[in-house]
Amino acid sequence: MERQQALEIGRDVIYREADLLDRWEWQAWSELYTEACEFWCPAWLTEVKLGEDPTQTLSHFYITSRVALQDRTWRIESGVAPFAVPVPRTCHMISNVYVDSHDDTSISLRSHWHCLTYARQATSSVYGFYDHHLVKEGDHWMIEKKQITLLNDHLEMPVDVNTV
Amino acid sequence: MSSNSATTAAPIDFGRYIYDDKKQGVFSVNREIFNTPELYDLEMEYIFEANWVFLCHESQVPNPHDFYTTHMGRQPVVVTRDKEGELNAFINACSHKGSKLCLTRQGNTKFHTCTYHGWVFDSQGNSISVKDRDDASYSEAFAAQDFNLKKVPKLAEYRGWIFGSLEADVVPLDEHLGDMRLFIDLLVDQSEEGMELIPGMSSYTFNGNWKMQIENCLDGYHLNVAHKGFLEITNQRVKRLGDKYTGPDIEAMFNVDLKTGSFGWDQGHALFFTENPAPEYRPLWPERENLAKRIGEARTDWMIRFGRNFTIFPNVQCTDNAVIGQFRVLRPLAHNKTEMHIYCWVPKGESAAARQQRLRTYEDFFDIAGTGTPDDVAAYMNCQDGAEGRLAKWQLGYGRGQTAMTNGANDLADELGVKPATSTAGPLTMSDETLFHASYRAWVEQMQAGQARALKKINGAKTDKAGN
Repeated sequence: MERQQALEIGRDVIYREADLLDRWEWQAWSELYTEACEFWCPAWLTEVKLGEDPTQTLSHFYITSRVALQDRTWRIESGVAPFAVPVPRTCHMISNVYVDSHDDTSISLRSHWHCLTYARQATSSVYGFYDHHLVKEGDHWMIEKKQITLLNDHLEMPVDVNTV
Repeated sequence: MSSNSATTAAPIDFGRYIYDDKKQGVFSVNREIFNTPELYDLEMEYIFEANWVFLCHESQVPNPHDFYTTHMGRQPVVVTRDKEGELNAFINACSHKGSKLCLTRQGNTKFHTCTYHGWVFDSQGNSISVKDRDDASYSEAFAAQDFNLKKVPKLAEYRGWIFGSLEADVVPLDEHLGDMRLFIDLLVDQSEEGMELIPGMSSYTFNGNWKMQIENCLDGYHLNVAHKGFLEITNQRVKRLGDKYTGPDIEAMFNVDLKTGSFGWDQGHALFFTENPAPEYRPLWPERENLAKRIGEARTDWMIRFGRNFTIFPNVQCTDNAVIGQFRVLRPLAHNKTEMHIYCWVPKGESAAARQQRLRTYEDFFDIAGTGTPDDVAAYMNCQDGAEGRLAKWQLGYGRGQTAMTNGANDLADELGVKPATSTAGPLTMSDETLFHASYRAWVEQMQAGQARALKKINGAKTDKAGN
């Protein structure tokens, strides 16, 4: 597979991921992930050093299965979580996408992201980097790993799987 | 005292912010305590900058020349360890023009060099170099002044918990902490090696008054409403994973036969406890004989049998229940805004598997990205919005547990050997609210005392050239 094709395939997946989240299509979003997956956002250890080992240092998210992601989206749409009443509106913007490595059955992408969330008549904003690792399962390209680097981690609002 | 004190010439009666009828057993709080902008500066002057506040844990500044930055009220502070390993604390501002000296949260350096004009200080805060000192042409009187960093007048630690006071005229830390020392012991003694904070933290602000956070951490009543989302997820996981489920046993936690209760102290400290449903499954259970040899039966019993949440007034709260430990440090930024730093604390020396389990459980609920804390934050925002409803002055949130309350120590307090001002005990569904009284009574007392001090200085004392 040529690099340009890998880029087009990869961008398609990660743009679709953002779109499904923003349009509140929770089930379809979670189904982009492999059953055993890794949704990981390590906490910064200092201003310049990011955590590298989720077994030793804090992560904001370290979710390792599709069903666990579905636990999170269940809570958001349930109406019983005060923070998600009403469900916040989100807008993920992804750019600077490029292929870090690829072969015929896997693609590693780097990108930059900015998510604006509208809740309680106010906009909050978080941003950073994504590292996606996609794998081919049958005819579909799925997300096996997503590492989220959150840059502005002194938060004005709590974050959830739909706002990073 | 600084001449920019917010103290008003006409004294405020801080007692008007609470309704405290001990005879009738009615306690209430005036919403104005949350919605009044002018109270913020006074709270800073009279409480956060006038008495002991929590600074950091020893695991955040372990080695010589380590430093850790934080705030005491509005004032930026740095805690250091000098070359002998002794703790020091200073205002984090160069003595030259006040440029913030330590620019990162923590680090290690023998010498602190100001990035503005290059003045250098050692880790004891001594001025050791003034750029071009020889050509400064200072007057003799100028040169005779104190060039060192401004020391925090009181600094002390208990079992690795480091506290400071910007006011020198305070009781010793041991006296301020009182019985809270025992509850700190119940954390630190879980391992022979002590406790530590796992690297990494969540720092965030919420649009609500700090006293809402003080209440929330010790509030059991909201668990199955505000955290219903978390509880439902847990039920789903239990069904899904069966034997493989390793999280907290939520159903057992809501067993109404479990005992719960609280203690409140005059300094504003408070604690609530709930019986752990299956102590034989606690990680400490196999250790209980060794523990009892080390710390005694009563303390071992409390460590294993009861989950505990407590406040050391005014700015640090701690949770030790089930398998997770949380550490919360708060700083008010305005009457309607509060800054939090929260951590996962763990006993040192646990197995890698145990540490991972604690981390995952903490992240799942307590972290700012978890399924628990965001719903508390929503509660604060909703309460701050509701507090603008000035027509409804008094709140009903402080009555549960009133008739189950003892003035002084009850049996459970006696078991432990603590002497709280109030004790409560009852079934799980009692969800005590009397423990909030202690913090509000202390608030009133400390605000009155702070105002009295400030007025005395304004009205009577001679001042030096610096207005001190």
